[in-house]
Order: sequence, then C-alpha cells, then structure tokens
Amino acid sequence: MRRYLQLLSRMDLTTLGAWAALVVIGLATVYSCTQPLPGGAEGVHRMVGVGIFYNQILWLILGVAMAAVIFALPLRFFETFAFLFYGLAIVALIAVFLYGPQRAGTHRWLSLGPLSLQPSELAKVAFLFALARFLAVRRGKGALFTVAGVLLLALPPFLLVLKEPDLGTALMFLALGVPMMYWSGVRASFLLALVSPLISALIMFYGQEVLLSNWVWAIYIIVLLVTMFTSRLYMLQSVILVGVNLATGLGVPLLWAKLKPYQQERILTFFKPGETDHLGTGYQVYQSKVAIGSGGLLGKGYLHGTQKGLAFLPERHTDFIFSVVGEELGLWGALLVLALFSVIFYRAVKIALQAKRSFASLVAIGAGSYFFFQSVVNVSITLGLLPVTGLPLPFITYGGSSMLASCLMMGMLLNVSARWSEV
Amino acid sequence: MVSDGGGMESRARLLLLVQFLAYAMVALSLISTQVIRRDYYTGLALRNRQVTQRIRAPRGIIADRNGVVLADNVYQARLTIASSRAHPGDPALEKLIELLGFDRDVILQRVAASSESDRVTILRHADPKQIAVVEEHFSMLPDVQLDVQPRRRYHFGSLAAHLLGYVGEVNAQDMENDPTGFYQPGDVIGRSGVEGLAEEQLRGVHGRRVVEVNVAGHVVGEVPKGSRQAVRGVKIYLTLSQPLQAKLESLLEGKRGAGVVLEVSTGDVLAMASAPTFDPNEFTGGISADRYAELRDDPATPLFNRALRGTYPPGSPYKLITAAAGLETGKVTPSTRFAACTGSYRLGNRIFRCWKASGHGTLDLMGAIAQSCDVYFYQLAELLTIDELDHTATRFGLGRPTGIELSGEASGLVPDKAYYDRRFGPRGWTRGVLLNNAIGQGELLVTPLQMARTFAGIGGDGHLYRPHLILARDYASRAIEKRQPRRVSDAMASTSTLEFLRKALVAVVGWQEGTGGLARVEGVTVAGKTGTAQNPRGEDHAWFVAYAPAERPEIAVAVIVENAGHGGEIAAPIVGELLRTYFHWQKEQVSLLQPGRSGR
Repeated sequence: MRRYLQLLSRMDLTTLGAWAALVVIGLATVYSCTQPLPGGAEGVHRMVGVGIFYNQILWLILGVAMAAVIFALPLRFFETFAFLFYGLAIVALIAVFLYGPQRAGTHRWLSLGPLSLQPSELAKVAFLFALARFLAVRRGKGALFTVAGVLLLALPPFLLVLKEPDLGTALMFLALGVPMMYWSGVRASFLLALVSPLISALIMFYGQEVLLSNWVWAIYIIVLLVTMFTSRLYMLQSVILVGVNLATGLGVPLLWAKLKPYQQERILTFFKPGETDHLGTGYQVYQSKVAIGSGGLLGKGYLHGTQKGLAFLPERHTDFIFSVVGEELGLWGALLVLALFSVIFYRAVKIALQAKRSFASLVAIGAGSYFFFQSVVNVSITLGLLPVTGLPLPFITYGGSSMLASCLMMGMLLNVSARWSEV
Repeated sequence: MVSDGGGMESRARLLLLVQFLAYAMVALSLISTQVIRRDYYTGLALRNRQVTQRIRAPRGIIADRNGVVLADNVYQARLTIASSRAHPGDPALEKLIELLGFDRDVILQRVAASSESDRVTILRHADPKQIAVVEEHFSMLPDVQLDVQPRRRYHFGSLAAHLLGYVGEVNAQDMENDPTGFYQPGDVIGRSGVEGLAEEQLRGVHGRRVVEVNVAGHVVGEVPKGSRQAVRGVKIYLTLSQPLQAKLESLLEGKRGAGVVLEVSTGDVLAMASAPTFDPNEFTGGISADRYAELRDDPATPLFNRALRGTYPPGSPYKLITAAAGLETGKVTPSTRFAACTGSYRLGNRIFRCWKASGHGTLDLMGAIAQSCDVYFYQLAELLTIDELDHTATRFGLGRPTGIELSGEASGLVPDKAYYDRRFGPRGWTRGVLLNNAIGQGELLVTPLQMARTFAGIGGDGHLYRPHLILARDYASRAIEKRQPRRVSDAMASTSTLEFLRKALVAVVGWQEGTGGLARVEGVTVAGKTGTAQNPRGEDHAWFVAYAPAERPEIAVAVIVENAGHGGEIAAPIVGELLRTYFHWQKEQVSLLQPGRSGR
C-alpha cells in the first residue's frame, strides 16, 4: 500500500489534471444531451433519456477502477503478456461474428452478462502492447522488416474490424503504427515515403475548388524533394518516390474529370459530407456544422443548445458529441477540449523521452498518439473535414467500450510516468 | 528511452510539430466555422426551427336581403399530424389512434387518402373531450398539432340549400384550373350555388403565420416578421327574404316540386325552393363518398334545383300565351265564342279531350281562361300558325334562360316549325301538335322560374326583368354596391292584351266557376292560373302561377308539385297560404322587402 501511494506521488499530475478536466466536460455534455431545451416541451420522446448519463458515470467508475489496477501492475507484466493480450483481442474480434448480436447490420458487440462491449475498442490497448513489445525488440534494426512486422501485427485486427464494419476504428490500427515506428527509430523519410503519395492525392482532391491547391501541392513536392536530398535515401528510391507523388498529384484531377457526375457526387458525399447532401449521411455533418457554427465565440450557454435541444443532431451523444460542445460552449470551449488533448500528447512525448525502458517509452508514445488521432479525426468529422467513419472522442463520447479503452490507455500512460526510472 | 545522442529529442520535436500542425488546422477550421461563418450557420439554425403556416381566411358571410345571416363560419379545433408521421407504425400516429379510441383502419385510410402536403388532418372538428385528451398527452405526440380553423356553417340547415350551394375541399383539378396558385391542398372552395358563383369574393385572402417549432414539432412561439393577417371574404347580401323562403320550403315539405317568389318591380328572387332538399352543412369539411352517392342516386334528386333546372310541361297557364297570340294577331277578341264545348274536339280522325268530360258549353275568351276550357283553345289554335304561337311564347320569356346568376339554368323548350321538321321530318307532323301546344301540353317545357317571371311581367309593367339572387356585395371598407333591376325585353304584348289577361287571371281565382278559388286571400285580390300538366311519367303535375295584389302587384309566385294531381286542388292552396303569410307580414309591417333595415 505504501508503495502504491509512493507511485501515485510520482505520476504526472498535468496529465491527470487534463484527464480530469476532459472527464468533467464529457459528463457535463452527456448530461446536456439528455436535457430538453428550456421552455420547450418536456419529455420529448426523441430526447435521449437521462439514464445514459448515469450509465456513463458507472462506466467511468469502472474505467477508473481498471486504470487504478493497471497503474498498480509493473510494466514487465504488460511486456510479458503483450502477445497474450493481443491473441485474446483477436479471439474476441472473431467472437463478435460468432456470438455477438447484430445491431443495425453491424457486428461490433459482445455481451458479457449485463455489459455490452465493443472488443474493437479494447483491442486497441492490446494491439498497443504487442506493437510496443515488437518495436522494442526491433529498435535500430532494418526498417523494411520493422515495417513488415508492424503491418503483419496490424493486419488481423484491421481486417476483422473492417469487416464489422467499422472503418474508422480499423484505420486506427494502421495509424497507431506510424508514430510508434518513428519512435522506435524508423527514419521519417522512410515513413514519409510510405504515406506521401496519399498526402499528394488528398491535397489535390480536397483542393478541387481552391485556386491555391496547386501551389500547396507544388510546395509539398518541393518539401518532399528537400527531405529526400537531406535524408540518406538512394537516388533511385528518391526518383521513384517523387515520380509516384507527381503521378498521383496530377492524376487525381485528370481522373476526377473523367468521372460521370453521379460518380463525382458519390465520392463528394463521402469525402466532403454535408456540403452537397443535407439528407442521409450528409445530414448529420450538415446539422453538426450548423450547431457548431451557430455556437459562435462564446456558445449558446450550457444546456441551451437549440440544435441539440431540437434534436436536429441525430448522433449528438455519441460520435457527434463535439458539436454539442461547440454549440453550447462556443469556440473557447471547443479550443479548450483540443488544448487538453494537446497537453496529454505533449506530456506523453515527455514521459516517453524520460522512460528508460523501450517498451514503456513506446507505450507512452502509443497512448499519446491514440488520444491525438482519436481527437483530431473525431473533431474533423464533426467539422466536415473528414469522411464520416465513426470514431469516438475519448472521455466525452457516450459509450462504455470507448470509456474503458481510454481509461486503460490513460492508466498505462500514468503508469509509465510513475515508473519511468525502471529499466 | 535511452537513445543515440540527441536523436530522441529531435524525434520528439518532430512529433510535437506534427501534432501542433494538426490541432492548428482543426482550430483554424473551428474559427472559420464559429467566427467567420457564424452568421451563416446561425441563419441556418434559425430556419430549422421556423415553419410557415397558412391562416385560412374566413369565408364571406352570406345574408338575406335584411341581413339575416344564412351562412357564416364557426371556428373549430383541427387536429393534424406532420405528413412525415402519417404512416402506419409511426409511434405518434399510433398513440393518437389509441388515445382517441379511433378505428385504426379508418384513420389509416384517411391518412393515405389525404392530398395535403405538409400536414395531414386527422380530425377536422375535435370536440372538447378529444382536445383535453390530446393536450394531456401532448408530450407523447410529437409533430401533432391542434389549431383553429374556420368552418362553413349554414345557420338554417337546409334553408335555401340549392341557392347557397355548398363548399368542399379543393381537389387536384381545382388546383390545375387555378393559374393564380391561390389554392393549396386542404383549402375550401365553393362548389355550387352562390358559394360557387361568388367564390372569388367569398374566399377572401389567406394569410400566413411564421411560427417557431420545437423538437417535438409543437409550436412554441410566433415570429411577427413574415406573418400576414388573413382577409375575410366579402359579405354577400341575397335578394332572398329568409322568413318567406322558410315559409315556402315548409309548404313544399314532403312533396316533390318547386316554388319561386319574385318581386314584380325588380325581378328580385324573394324565395326559391326545390323539394326535396339537402343540408349543405353535410358537405362542409368533406362529405363521405357513401353519403354523397346516397344523395346523388336518390330517385327524388334532392341535389337537383327544380326551380330553375327542372323542366315541366306548363299546362294551362300556357293558355294565357295562346290567348295573347290570338288577341295580338287579331284572330280573336275577348268576346269571341266558338262552338260549344262538349268535353272533346275532333280534328280529322283524332279526338282531343277537354279536362271536363261533361263539357263547358259556350264560353267567351275570359270564361275559357277562368274555367280553363281546353276545347275553346283547340279551336283558337286552329286559327293560329305555329310561328305565331311560338313567337308569342318567346316574347313571354319562355324557351330561353332567364339569366339569373346561378349556373345550370335550363332553357325549357318552345317548339317551332324547325323543331318539328327536325324531329318528325318536314311532312311527318300535323296541326295536331299545335292543338296540344295551345293548352300547354305536347313538347313544351318550362321551368318554374320562367313561369314566375312570365306572370311577373304580365302583372307588372309588361316587361320581363332579369331575376336576381345577389342583392349587394359588401366590400368591408367600400360602400355597398347594389344591382339595379334590368329590363331584358320589349313589351311582351299590347296594353289592351295585357289588360285583358290581368282581368282573366283575377277571374280564375275570384269567380265562382274559376279553377283557382283555393288561392284566395282575405282582403287581397289574387290573379293566377291553375295548371294540371299531363306527363308521361305518371300522375299530373299540379301548377299554380299567380301575382298579387292584382291592382298593383308586388310579388309573383309559381309553384309546381310533381305528380300530385289538379293544380287547383294541390298547388293553388300552397300559393294562397304563401300569399296570406306575405300580406299578413306586410300588414304587420314585418320587414320583408327593404334591404338592410334590420341591420347587418
């Protein structure tokens, strides 16, 4: 017990504070989603019941308890059983298809007694352990095999979750690998080479109507060239890389022009939701942007969001909860949430730098990246910047699995922050 | 992580840079959305919650000549549901059906049949109990609304139903025929009678109301900007006298027939009834298809306005026209006597019978009219050409519409030579048809309105007037615009002929032997003519057409009772009772004719 208190005194209080702040904002916002507009009709049936607020508190208590347990366990424990956890996660992801109930055409859930869980959320934690363990071993070794190994680890959960289907969560398995590989020593230029054609295509695609997009792309190509020069890549590799980038960058507009209008329409609806279609998928994004935009600088006031109150926001307590924050608390509230996530990532990098053990350091980077990706992608979706793929906002979105996974990640991060000196 | 020199530091910096750029990009997007484009999104947020509703204008009031209200509007609670919810299985719709204890199938059928676009009417007239139930459970009934709508009400039920007409909901065809786009689904339109002909004035101007709607689809407030008041329709005064109309209708009750009362000096329709009748209130707010079919297919044709659409053989009143033709052409004088009536008359090998089988003996023209001797007129007809007879009938206003405002008026039929040539071939007919025509039988057809007008002309100044039903239109702010009586003919006949006809008509009622004795009224001289019109569909029709007082006529009356027997026995007492009532009220100075005396 005394040892536990000692550990507690050594953990990173800034991270803890940011976590606490996010939890408070999250609970308050979930509560707001259950409340009707003041002066409006009470008991409106499309309103979300206040019951979910109490559920969320229970999930939080459970999450904090599990985080406390994780915090107490030595790092070696996780390193030793990393692949076991990974294996269990894969089993759970397969079980979803065998035993899980089907909801709205998707297989995402497993029932454990009274609890209903999404294994895909918890699998992120197990995947993180496995990745950290693998990369800790591969440190400083050949980049090609490292990348191949990471892909091999990421592919099973990626494919299983993709089949649920849950595109957003599936992509997280690929995304988490990038910063962790970088942290384990794979060169930035190598990683850039991997993702650069994608970035090229995205710049050209998202800049369709913007005059400057060609210039932005040109600058990007120049940056790429400079990076290639300064890095120690072979000439041939550099030429291939730049060639692929030029091909995709120039190819996107040409290909686009060749598409039939209805095909363009479909692609636009997916990649730029809420601009052309105000019904269907675009409806949520459109309503979300209206909610956030009408919130203005200071917001409409806590519990006073009209879009939320009028239930124009269909998924307001889950994936689109950030729009309620934006509407009720305004720009300052929204920036505060982003700032808190930014602080967590910043502290995670610091903790990773400090940690003596490679596994611990990589876990810290992974946990930080988890919060970073989830928050950036989720907020971007509510702003219509990214396609609607469904990714929860940690600690704020209503939902047990996400809450548990986020608490476990946080428990690990704090664990490393307290045990940084362990070798 | 123990690292190779400062490598980890630089890796950390790059990671932080990347995350800073990513968050900065999201933050910039937030600023763009929440600060730069805030007004745009605020506008969208507001529009989400504002709904424009139609305020239906109350229809113009229809009153009688003295301002007695015949048709006005009542305001009633209407229960509607958003059309997005108007399908089986919707929780709000199902809850509503359950709460109000409706027959589910009936409601679902009604919902499916609705042509309204944004809201579907569940109940046009919610009673207080239903309103209470709905309001109590309002929170469970999203997108359900209670509002107040004007509904047409006909104060006296079936009174003047054929004249007032009725209203119904607009259908697709109405909207197609309306280039101005005035009508929207659920609106009301005048279907017949005055409601139909004065539709453009009666309907008023619809307004609109912009309301704020909450998540449940319930109105929480009104937005003054963009709202517009409805303008009530123009009030219309009819020439009718409500008490006289009621009297006429009560006299015809239980019979099939029609009656018309005209003001002699103007042609104003003081009363016009057709029996049997219907209650236009049944049509307001949608009559059921079954009930409509029942009315439409009733053999007694209650929807049919016999007074101006029904055509009947005129019978004996037509003898006045035959007499006028004889006098005007100089073929006879008032003192002309023909061979004595023995109850029948032979033309070639055909026998033409008099209604009195025992015969009338010898009569002069006045006696022949008073006793309605058919044989006298057969002999008179022998002197006339068919042209002379049909020409006189046309001058007396028969064979063509009177021009009353109401639509669907029948012309009747005054057969001329061309008609018979067409019908039987140029050599296919004999002078026998003329004999039949002379006593108002054969192919002749007239409407009760035509007969009333012809007699009003004889009793009045010898001219025909266009009958009027609409007295004035009151444009709320402007003065009452009043119709002037309009002569529509030259003199019907010479003064001496008319003078003779008037005397003869007095004799019909006044003389001991006259056929119209049952139409006598104490203290008033009544001039009139009975008619017993044979028709191929059963019993004779009983006619009585009259005006009074004979010295200075005020009103002319025509009454026909279908398949009822002798005019003198059946129709004359009805006219007598009507005149008695009229002159009794005149004596008591009950306001019957002066428009606007009893106020509006």
